[in-house]
Amino acid sequence: MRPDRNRWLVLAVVAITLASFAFSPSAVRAQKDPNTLKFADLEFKAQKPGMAAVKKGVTFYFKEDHEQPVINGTIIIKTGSLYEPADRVGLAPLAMRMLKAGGTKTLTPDALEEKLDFLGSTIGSFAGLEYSEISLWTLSKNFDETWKVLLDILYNPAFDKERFDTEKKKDLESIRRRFDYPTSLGGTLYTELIYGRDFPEARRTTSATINAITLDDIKAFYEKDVRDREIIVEFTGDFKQAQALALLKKDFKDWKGNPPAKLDLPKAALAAKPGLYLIDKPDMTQAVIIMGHLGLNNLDSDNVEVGIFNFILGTGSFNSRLMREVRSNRGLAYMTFGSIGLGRDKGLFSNVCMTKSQSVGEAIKLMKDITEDMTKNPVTAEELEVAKKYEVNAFVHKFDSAQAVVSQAVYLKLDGYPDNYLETYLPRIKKVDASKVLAIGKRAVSPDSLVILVVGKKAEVIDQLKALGMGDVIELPLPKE
Amino acid sequence: MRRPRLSLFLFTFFILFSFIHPSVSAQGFAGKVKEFTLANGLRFFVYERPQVPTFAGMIMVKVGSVDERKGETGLAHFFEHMAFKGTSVMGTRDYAKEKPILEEMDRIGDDLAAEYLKGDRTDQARMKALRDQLTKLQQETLTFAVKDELDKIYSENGGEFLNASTGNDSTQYFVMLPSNRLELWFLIESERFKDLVFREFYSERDVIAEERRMSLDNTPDGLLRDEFTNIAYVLHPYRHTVVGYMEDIQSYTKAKAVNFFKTFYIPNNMVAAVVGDVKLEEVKRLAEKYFGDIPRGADPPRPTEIEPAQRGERQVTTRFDAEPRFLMGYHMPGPADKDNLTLSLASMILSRGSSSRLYRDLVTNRKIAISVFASASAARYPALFMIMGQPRHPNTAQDLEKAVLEHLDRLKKEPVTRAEIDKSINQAEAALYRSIGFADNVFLAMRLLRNVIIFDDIDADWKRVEALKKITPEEIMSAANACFTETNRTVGILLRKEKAGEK
Repeated sequence: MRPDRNRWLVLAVVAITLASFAFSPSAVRAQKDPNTLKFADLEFKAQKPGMAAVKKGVTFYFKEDHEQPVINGTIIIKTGSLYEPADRVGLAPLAMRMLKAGGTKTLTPDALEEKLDFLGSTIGSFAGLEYSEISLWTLSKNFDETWKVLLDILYNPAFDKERFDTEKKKDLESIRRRFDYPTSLGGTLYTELIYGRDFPEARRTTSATINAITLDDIKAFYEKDVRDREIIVEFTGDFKQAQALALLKKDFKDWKGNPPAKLDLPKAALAAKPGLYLIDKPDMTQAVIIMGHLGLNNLDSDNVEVGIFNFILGTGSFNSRLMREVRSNRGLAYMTFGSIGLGRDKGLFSNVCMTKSQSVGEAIKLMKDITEDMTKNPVTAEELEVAKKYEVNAFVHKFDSAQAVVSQAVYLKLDGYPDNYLETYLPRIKKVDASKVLAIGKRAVSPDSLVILVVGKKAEVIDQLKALGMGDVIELPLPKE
Repeated sequence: MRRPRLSLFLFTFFILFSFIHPSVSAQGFAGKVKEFTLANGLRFFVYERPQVPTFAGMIMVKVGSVDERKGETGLAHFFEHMAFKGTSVMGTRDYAKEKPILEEMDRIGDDLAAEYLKGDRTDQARMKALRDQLTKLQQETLTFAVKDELDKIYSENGGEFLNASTGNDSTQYFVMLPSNRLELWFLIESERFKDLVFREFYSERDVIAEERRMSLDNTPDGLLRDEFTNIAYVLHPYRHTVVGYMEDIQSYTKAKAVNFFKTFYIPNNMVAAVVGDVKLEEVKRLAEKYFGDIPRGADPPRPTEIEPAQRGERQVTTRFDAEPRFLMGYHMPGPADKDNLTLSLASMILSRGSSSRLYRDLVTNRKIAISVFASASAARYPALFMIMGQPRHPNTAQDLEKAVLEHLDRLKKEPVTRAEIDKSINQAEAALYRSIGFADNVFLAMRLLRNVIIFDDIDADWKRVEALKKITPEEIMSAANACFTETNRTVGILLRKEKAGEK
């Protein structure tokens, strides 16, 4: 009985729907068309975190948020792998991990881990190029104890010898596994082709550099490049700023906050000869394609405007040309994207796609044409409008957590962005026109200098690559590590 | 998963996250989340969080790969892709002219599928001719198309995190928008289910084939997982992966997809959550306006297979150009059974945190592995207790297996300590708060709806943490003895090809 009743219900609805169609199709259509809904652009002002100087070389950024009983804390230290000696690549990350893994003068490594796990708290650390972090997450009721552990790690690391052995062995095993995924193989080698192996952004650990690191190196790195180095402390969540500031004043009273040494670093220059490169992976049914060259500096005069270029080229999902053409119109890939990246010295300009071996040639040609067109012809008015509206209306999402507000502000400051960067962001976006996008393309993209790397099955792709007429295909050996 | 930003793995992570780490006892969602149900059975959950003027909207449909039949694997996921292709109004300039071409394409598509299914007797020349016809007609439809208009409209309106994902148990569609766009969300989400047009059906099969190549066939973990589940289950549809077999992907027909959609995409099989800067009354008004007219459907059919008890260890070794990986699984009871939560507690004692048993012993001290992780399942149907790890050279996957088995034996023979249980409870309580930040409105919506789909209780994860407190060491021992038996075990190992002799 029940299905029958449902059927009647369906018929009734269909009848009513048809009736209304017959009555006024345009009215119904309008009800179904999202374009008929009009909304004002969201006027959202950039949010700033609180900031206070704790002392020279120790700065505090914060944003309270009492909705949940949790606290996030991060200490950013102005140190990182830029400060490693060339024959000790991997020292900075290993040293940062050892701060916690090696225990402290009062807590053995086992006891330290046991304590944090029992509190349900986490402390993590990592080393970047210029900046490294130790961070905590805790329920606010356990903040005092977790913070005490973090300070102990920072002030009194014990660098346990046995744990050092474990951490080194983990690194060695990770090196063995580095190329297990075709995408990580492609990404690593593309970076190396563009910057050259010795450039800071492209340097990578090898078993030799890890094996060369001694416990004394770790201790020396800590003494010289972590301890008393300039730091930024961030707190977000369920704390009170006045109490937190008092706490930091007490706990960092004797921390010297020394600025890092000025380094004499090389300038980026395209390392590889433009052209086609291939790494043979005979088991693969799908190839990874990465093409591009150097990108721009973080502080480039178009560092906001380039976002519009990127959206249209390859970050705007289905609104981007790469996604539209490579995936949506031709079904050549599931994953494809591209952008002019910004970086410390220079970022990477890269366009990526993964496609079955049989369509590698077609995909490369298409991606190359798309890239080239961005340097020759203005983008359409519609493309421009979608990209700009997206930036304007999605601006609010940059601030949708206390943590996002704080860490965004801190890193903009660290990377040298002007203080009014976020305030000027939307006014700059609104001014972008098609000629600006084209000018960025002409200046930052050079279709004749593309380095094109393919990781895939040689037997199935080589003829397609040769047929592209882009010169010799340079076969790269699969690196051991 | 329609966009590359998220992967199927993320969804898997979610399942693990929500159920290994349930929520804090004193709190819970019930006081904060308001619920209402439309006459057609569609349930809405509204969590007002006004701190930032945005919201996350999510629709979760109780349909996943578990609801697929043999020969149609991957259809739930395929349909998820289709749901972005527009309606009779969205995505087209002239549907009346587009429609006959789409119908012509379906006739050719049916022929193509039939030819493909002839297997080794397939006429390749005919296949090619049919494919060429499809491509040509597809080009014709483009003259009427407003490509990817759904994406375009959401993007122009500041949509972020626009995506969808398909899992074994459910399919979900989500986006974050500025809060003044609430009505836009309602209009688009209702229309995509009321008036969907299956556009680009045949070219999308190629996209999904690439997705499968990327996530399963050309990655060591995906490949191993696929082969592993294929033998861990002999009958239950959890045996096939969400993206489906390549052979099925190549042979979907429009009729199958439409039928699947009509069967499962009905309001009484969907739940929705709106989390963020919204007002309950406004959500109610719009829900009624946009979703109220969708007719209730017949309760969808559910899998008719019950996985038979396993009576012998199963093993699979697969090969890929990568370092070894190890997977071990035991069939375990579903959430309705008391042992489900008990085994979840056991998984925490085994591998949650660096002081856990497996991590401390196998990674830190004995250095047999660089990672090892245990997880208990809590899904719509009984699934697996899983242990996965990466051995450290020169230790082999077999060495790791042996060491893991010692730990499982220990759980069977010795009661765990009270301190280990307390630690796990503290970790589980803390974890309840980890996915509650502002940016996490999407995750929060996912967590709420998953609680509803699996447990029919938005506070299920909080209650499960509370229930952990009553579990005794003896109960863990007894559950371990029932579950971790040799005959109930499946082991999957991935090895590098050139080291064929090693295991």
